[in-house]
Amino acid sequence: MLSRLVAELPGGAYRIRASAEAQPESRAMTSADSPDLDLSRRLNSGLRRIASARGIDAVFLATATAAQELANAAGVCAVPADRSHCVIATSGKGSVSTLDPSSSLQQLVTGAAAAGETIVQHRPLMEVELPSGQRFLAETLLTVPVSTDSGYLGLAFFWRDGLTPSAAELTLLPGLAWTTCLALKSQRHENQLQHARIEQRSQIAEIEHRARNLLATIRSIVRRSGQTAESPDEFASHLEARISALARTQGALLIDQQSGPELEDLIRAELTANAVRENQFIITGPSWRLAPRAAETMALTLHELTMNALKFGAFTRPDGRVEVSWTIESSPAPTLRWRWTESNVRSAPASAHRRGFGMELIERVLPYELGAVTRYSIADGGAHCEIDLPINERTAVTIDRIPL
Amino acid sequence: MRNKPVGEHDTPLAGLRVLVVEDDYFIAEEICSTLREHGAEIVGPSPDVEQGLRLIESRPIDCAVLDINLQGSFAFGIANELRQRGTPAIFVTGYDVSVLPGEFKSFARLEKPVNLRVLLQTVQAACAGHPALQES
Repeated sequence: MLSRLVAELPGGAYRIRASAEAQPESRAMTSADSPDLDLSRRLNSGLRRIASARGIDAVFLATATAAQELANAAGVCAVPADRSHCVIATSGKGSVSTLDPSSSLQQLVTGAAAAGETIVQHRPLMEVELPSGQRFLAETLLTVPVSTDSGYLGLAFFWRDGLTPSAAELTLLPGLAWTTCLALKSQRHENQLQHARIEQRSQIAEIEHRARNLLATIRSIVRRSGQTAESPDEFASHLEARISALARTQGALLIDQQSGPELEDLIRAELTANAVRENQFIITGPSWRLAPRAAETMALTLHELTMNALKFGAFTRPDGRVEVSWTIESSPAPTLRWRWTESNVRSAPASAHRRGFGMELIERVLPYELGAVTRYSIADGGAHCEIDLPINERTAVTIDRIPL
Repeated sequence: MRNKPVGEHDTPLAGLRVLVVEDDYFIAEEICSTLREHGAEIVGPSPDVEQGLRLIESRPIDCAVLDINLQGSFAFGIANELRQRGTPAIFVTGYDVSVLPGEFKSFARLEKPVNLRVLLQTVQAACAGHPALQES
């Protein structure tokens, strides 16, 4: 029966002619309906089953069941486009399993799919061993190449126990396979959408977390400014300047969402925002990007140092200088060594020793939140601040942990 | 005997040792000073999971106030350790922890930003049966 439909290929393989040319043989009527009508009923029921399946496994199971109802197939096998494994769905037990890439079944299907057209193979002596340990021999294999945007190279129906498809059934199975291919494609899209939704939810949660932390920081700044200010005017101006410094950092974080702000940019932005002349400071250090929280705390610290230098230190004199520098050291532990050094300041100001917000940032916040080791001193030349920041996921942007 | 509500007694938490785990310095400081002012002895505060666990191992603790999201790592390990010891804990969370794992359903939970008066009441309620509070 098959010999009329298919042209023989070397190695016992056959190629199906276009279905329009196929003339199913007449056979004895087994029911009141014509066999054509019966076949089209079974086909339609199978297509509906595949189209309504939800989930990749369900699509394979529906395909296996449809192929059994339509053409007595024992199951269906699919090779993903990356050929990493082989999926096999059997209708009898209703199971979906994964075979390793070296299985003979996968090799047969991959080879046949590469031919680019539907191919029937008889008695290829395919031993199929399921992960459950169950083994069986399939005798007939019909491989249908499918469009790879479904994620698969090809689908193959197989028959065993002497059951073989009729010529008419054979011509209908590629249509079943293409419907499966469309269903797989739509499941893939559904999965990608689902993944994107989860990703979006976690990004929103991260933004929410950061917003709450930012508000907590602002609340603390308000309270601290209130405790240290000597007049309502001083309170207002300190508060405004500190919130502006925080806002600048948020701006920089938004611009460099993927990579975190450059340390040099943070420093330059703070100094220029406070109208410090270019010839009064030197910034030297390698490119370095800070994680969001560390950027915020470093920017606030920098703000306090700048304000102090403007009020009492290097920036009170035309010849006063500030050098901001940092180096990256890998031993004994990865550390960013950051230095703020003022020079040409004649008299060390007594008021700079007052315990203000800046000192709290340097002596308490940086060590607590970022594990930094810090020192602050006033020498003859002016203020000197050292911050040794351990390099880890809290302080630095790494490939593994990209902040928003 | 019922515990006196906050405000009627200067040190309603006297004798309680409270572990504070919170990665934000200012929030930690705010929580600790409030609890301290009301008589509690603070263990910590700890900014991360590792130090929090070390404190549980090395110090007696009657109650804990835990921020769940510690710069991206979750404090459930600490909570689990406390649960096994029968030590009451209060979770402080934001929107980012919308669902707590089932085993922590019975733990008290406060939303950020924390209202300090509510925090005091919650710590008091969580330790209601504690001998230190019974004496006062």
